[in-house]
Amino acid sequence: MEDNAELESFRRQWREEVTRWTKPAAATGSSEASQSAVAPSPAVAAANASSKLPSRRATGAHKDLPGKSSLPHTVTTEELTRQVKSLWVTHKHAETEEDVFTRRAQEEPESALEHFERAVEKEAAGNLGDSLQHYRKAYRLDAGVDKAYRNKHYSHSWKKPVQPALVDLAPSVKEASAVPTEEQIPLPTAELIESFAFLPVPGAEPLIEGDIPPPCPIANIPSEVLIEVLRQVALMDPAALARMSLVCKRFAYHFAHEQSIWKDLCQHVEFGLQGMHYTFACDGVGHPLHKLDQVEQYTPFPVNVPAEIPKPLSSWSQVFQCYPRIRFTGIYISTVNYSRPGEISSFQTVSWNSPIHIVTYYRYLRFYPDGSVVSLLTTTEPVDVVPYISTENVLAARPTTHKSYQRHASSDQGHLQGGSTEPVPSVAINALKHGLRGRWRLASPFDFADDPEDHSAPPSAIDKSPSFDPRDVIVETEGVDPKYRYTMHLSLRSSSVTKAHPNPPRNTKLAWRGFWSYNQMTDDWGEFGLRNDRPYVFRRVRGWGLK
Amino acid sequence: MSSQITLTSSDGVDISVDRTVAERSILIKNMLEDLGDSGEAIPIPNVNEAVLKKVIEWCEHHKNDPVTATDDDDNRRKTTDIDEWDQKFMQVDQEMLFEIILAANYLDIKALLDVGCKTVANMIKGKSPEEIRKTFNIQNDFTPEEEDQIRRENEWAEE
Amino acid sequence: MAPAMLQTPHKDDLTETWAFLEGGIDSVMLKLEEGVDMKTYMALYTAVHNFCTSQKAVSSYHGLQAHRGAHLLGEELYKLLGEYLSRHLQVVLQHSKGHAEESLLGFYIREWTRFTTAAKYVNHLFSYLNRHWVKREIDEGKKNVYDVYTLHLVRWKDEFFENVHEKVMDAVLNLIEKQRNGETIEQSQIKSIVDSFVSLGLDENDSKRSTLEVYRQYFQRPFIAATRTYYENESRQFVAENSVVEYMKKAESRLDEEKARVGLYLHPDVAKDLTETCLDVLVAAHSTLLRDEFQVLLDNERQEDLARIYRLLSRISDGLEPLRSTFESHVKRAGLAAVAKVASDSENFEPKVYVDALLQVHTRYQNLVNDAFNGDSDFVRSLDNACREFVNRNRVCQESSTKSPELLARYTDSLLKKGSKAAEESELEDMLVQIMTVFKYIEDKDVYQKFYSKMLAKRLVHVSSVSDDAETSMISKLKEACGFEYTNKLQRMFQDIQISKDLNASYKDWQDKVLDDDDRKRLVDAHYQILGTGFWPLQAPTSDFTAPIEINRTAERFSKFYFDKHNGRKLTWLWQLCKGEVKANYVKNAKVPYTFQVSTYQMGILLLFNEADTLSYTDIQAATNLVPELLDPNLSIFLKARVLTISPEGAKPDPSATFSLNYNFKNKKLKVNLNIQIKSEQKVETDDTHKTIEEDRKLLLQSAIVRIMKSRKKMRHVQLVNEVIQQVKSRFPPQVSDIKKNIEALMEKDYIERLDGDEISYIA
Repeated sequence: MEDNAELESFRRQWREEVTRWTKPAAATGSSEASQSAVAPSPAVAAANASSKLPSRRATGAHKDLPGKSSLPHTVTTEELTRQVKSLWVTHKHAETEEDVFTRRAQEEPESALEHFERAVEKEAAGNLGDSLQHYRKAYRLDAGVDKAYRNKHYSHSWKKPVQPALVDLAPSVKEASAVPTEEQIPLPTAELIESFAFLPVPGAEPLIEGDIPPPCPIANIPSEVLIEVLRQVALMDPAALARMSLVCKRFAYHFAHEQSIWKDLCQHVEFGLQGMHYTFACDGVGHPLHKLDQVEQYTPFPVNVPAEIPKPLSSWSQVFQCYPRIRFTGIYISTVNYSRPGEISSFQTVSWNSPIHIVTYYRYLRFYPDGSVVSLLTTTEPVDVVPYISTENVLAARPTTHKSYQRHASSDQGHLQGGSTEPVPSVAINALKHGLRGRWRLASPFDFADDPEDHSAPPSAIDKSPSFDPRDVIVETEGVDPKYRYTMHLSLRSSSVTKAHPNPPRNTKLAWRGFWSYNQMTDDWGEFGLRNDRPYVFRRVRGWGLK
Repeated sequence: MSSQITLTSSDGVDISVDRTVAERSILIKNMLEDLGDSGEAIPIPNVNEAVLKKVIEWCEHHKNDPVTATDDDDNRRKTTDIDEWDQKFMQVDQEMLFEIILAANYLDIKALLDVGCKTVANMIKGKSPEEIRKTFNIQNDFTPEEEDQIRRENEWAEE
Repeated sequence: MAPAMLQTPHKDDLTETWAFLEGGIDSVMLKLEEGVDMKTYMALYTAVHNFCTSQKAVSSYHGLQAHRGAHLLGEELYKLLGEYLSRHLQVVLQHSKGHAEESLLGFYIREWTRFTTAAKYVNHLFSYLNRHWVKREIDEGKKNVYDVYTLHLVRWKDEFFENVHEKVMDAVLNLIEKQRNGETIEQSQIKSIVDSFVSLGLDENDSKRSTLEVYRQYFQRPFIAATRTYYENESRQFVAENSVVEYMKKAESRLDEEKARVGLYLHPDVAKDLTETCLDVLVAAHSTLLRDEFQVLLDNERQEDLARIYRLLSRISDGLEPLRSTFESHVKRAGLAAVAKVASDSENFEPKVYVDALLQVHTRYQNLVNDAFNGDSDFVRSLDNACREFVNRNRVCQESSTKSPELLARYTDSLLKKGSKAAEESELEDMLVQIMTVFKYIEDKDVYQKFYSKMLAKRLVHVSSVSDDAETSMISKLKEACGFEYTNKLQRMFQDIQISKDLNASYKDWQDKVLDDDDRKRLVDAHYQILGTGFWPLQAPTSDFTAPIEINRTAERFSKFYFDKHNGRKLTWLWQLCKGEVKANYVKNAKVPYTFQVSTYQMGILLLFNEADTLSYTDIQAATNLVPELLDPNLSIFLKARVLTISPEGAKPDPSATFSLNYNFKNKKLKVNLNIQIKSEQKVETDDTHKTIEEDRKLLLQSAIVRIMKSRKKMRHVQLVNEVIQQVKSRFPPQVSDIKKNIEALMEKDYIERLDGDEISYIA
């Protein structure tokens, strides 16, 4: 695949340079140095490690729901993303991750390790050009920097017995934990959690030994009340419930066992499946449709009917995990790199001196619960633009000739500037000028192909994919020219399972299935090539989708 | 409807209150329905004076709220908002907050119980596990391995 | 209340807690009448609450002392409560054995009331359990866990009800049978039992809802069975001893009685089953008997009993169908008999007699349908079918079905002509409405139209309509019944008369301008009617006629005026329809001269005598140019009226005769009408009308065929015939053979051709 070739060439260049830097050290016969030559970088190591996994099985793991098949081309892109992603999430996943798009007064890295960390971060964000810069600086400062990095970030994983790779992502906790492990067997997770059942909420110990312990009134409330507190937390932000499960064992037990909370979440409008749309709820630019004959919209688990857990799932938390769900609490980013070789003749060996331009651009999608969506294609980095992506700001950034549109839209939405009160920086405004408004829906379990108003796919595409995949997402937006409309066919995918992440978030990626433009004047469809396009990956953004 | 009844707190203090106000408590409402108002003071053995006064204050303010049907759970679950008065009302120390919650649960005042739980939930959301522990004086009873295991198990829910 | 009860139990101790609660429940269950005080009430509720919320649980069951942790507590209390209820109900069951029949009912009701009242209390006292532990169990889909009140009902059903329901129902059914036999019973007891049974119906899947299953199975089923047996026996016996009419009365009153019973003390759910059972036993089982009685009742015109039989049989499925066919043939027989009577009473009956006979039968049975059969639309249809039969196919119509429409048209004419007996306008209108009733049944509507338009033409030309309003009313009725096309020509005729009036006025004005004095002296006071050839069913004169010079001059002057106004039109003088008056100044001994009302033909003859007193037949014929068929009867009229005398005397008009003016003419009236229709003319006219009908039908069929073929291009023969029938049947019922004949005719004329098979194709 061309995608791979590109990345491979990037790796090759880099490996070569690393070898060059480490050679002198190797000559001294230092075992450490030779070791670092053999395991040249975490990126490569991870790539190697994952390539040992049978790739078929890895893709099989994406079958969240029965009866679907991954498209062949998504396999490679996903593996790629997985390799990249596995590198960077680890060191910060314990923190609340909402804040990545706030530009902190980020200090320029100084030490080799700092440069290395920055490089990993950039690489994960997909910005290979910057990443390269930092790797180079890191190795210049310290040839063994990768080891230092591993010691810092992965120490726990090799200080502890290595768990065999999980072969299947199937949501069953038991299966995942039933795998036998060598020495000092930790309890399988389910049993571990089960063992928390009879524990009280432990009060903190006194600061000074022997002193009266500080009051812990939450420990005194009965389960039925504690569950109500947890329920309220979940309905404010499901992620907060996940963090709460790490507070103490009793909370972890409730997190795992309180089905009614998960059921409520499944049926919730803001985070759950009630907020999903299976038919378009908006017009072409995202204004809500006011259908006179308001037909009962399809929803998987309507509130007024007794809901049952669908087979083969066995709990509501699995339903919440597995059912295709668009998130409104953040941004979907697709980072695309492509390299443009400079004017070097082909027989010359590729070296660091040959000018290769790596261009990085980003596609952003922000979904709204009302069925509207904003789509943006720009080279502006996430940190500069993401906090400002919103329908209002896209309209506000448009040239004044289109202002008449604006009043319409801004009245629909309550707040301005995506939750932040400071003025939108000009770099963001410039990027937002190209924002497109549109609408989205999930694949409908019913056939709406007869609807002449539904230009959600060219006839040819409908013919080609007769099978219904519930993970499919259809996004329709304005075109750059008013006479065009763009239609994206995306499909929800999950992050890969790794040793460190046996249970990653589900359905947080959007893989490409097709991209068309539709000429409204001539009723013609044109297809965009997807050569460079990468799946969208979801990132939370502080304040989005929460009250 | 404005007949007065008397409640006796667990610490023996008599508090006079409108029957309609007291009947925000389904427990009291049921009891008056079953026994009739004999004029004797109603003992509230589980709630002390301070808390009972606080609860009555809330009931006074909400006496004209529409009485939601007992099993209308969906309605109250739909919203996580707390109105402004209730927010102010709940600005009490943590011990009092949980006392109010316990009293609302005991007296069967669903709306007050909800406000209490929402207030606690607001103290939790946006905080890291350690911050939550600090807020409520909870001890971390995980071993580091257990904590890691649970973290990995629950990672899916963090986005 | 024992003071010990007030000692609040230790909240973690199940044994202590339960002992405390049991004492409380006992007093609620057994001596609630002594009352419960607030302290006890609160203490009991609090004990439940405290146990459920205690952080540590001590259970003597498991010897377990542990932190309760994440689980909701309450199961032990729930179990103990259930066991308590079972024990209580065993005791109640033992006591029940000392009761039977009504005493058992009293016992059941007493215990039920006591138990359910207590259940409400206990439910409230245990409401903390309901709110949390029970709710959780139900949410998680646990079977056999109910809220505390429902738990009471479940135990009642399992422990007590299951063991006594048969005896209780026996007592209930005995009581109801007593009431059916006419005794007075205490109905409220049954009502209480019904309520109790209904309360015990619990939805297995949703404890908040109830079903009627228990009630249906244990009450309704035996009740319905008992009802069936009771009425089977009763009706069998009653029918054997009483007349059918008496039985019907009995059945009706029993049905009403059972319906009332539902309202008195049964559950409304039983109504449908009960009614169906009663109908089945009381009506359906005896339906043959009732139907056989129907003809008898019709023959005797027992309207009230007919209504009763209708009411009863209308309530069972397919109960009325046999009645309808009986009714239909009965009406048909009555209609045919009425017509036969008219026909046999007199050879030449008046149209009115015939129409009245038809109407009388119709009215009688229509009233029956409305009064006894509730205007039932199916009976209305049967009535219509029967009427259609006897109106179109009766003894009078034996030769031709067109007789009925002809007679009806004549009757209509007799009403609308001046001098009809219906004096009052409203009366006339009623009669026109009745005509339409018969008209509705007429199949050959085109025949009626033909005769009607002929007669209308005459009424208009001769200005003999009783009133314009009546004419308009009739035409609009026909239009309503048959559509615009049917009455189009009739309306145009009406218009022509109206236009002619205006024309005459402007002619008068014109005359005033152009006439000189000389003209004026010889002026004939004339009125003209311009009748559109296409609309009027009138023929040109059958004879030549030389009009008298006076008339001729007048006619020419009018023609001049008319052609000035409407260039290029053609006027044909319909002399046979013209009439006028002449004054007989010649008559001796007459102070005032007689006026003769005469036709123009007659005028032509009479005016000849201005020149001579005696004229020969040939003179007259030569002067008038009239054919003998017209000349002879008119001369006969003059002779008969003694205006003329014939020589030789007593001869009939023939070419050898001569005629003289009778100067000694005498008549009682000063105005003598000599313009009498000639008998033979009338007969010819009728025959002509029938002939034109045949002709018109041929044209109608052919134009229908062409119209259909033109739009379809190709069609099968059978299909074409069917379409044609559809198109023309509102005018007359076409014969298939006639249609075929006309298809052949059109083939000959090369409008259509036969293709392979039986397909027909249109030739453009």
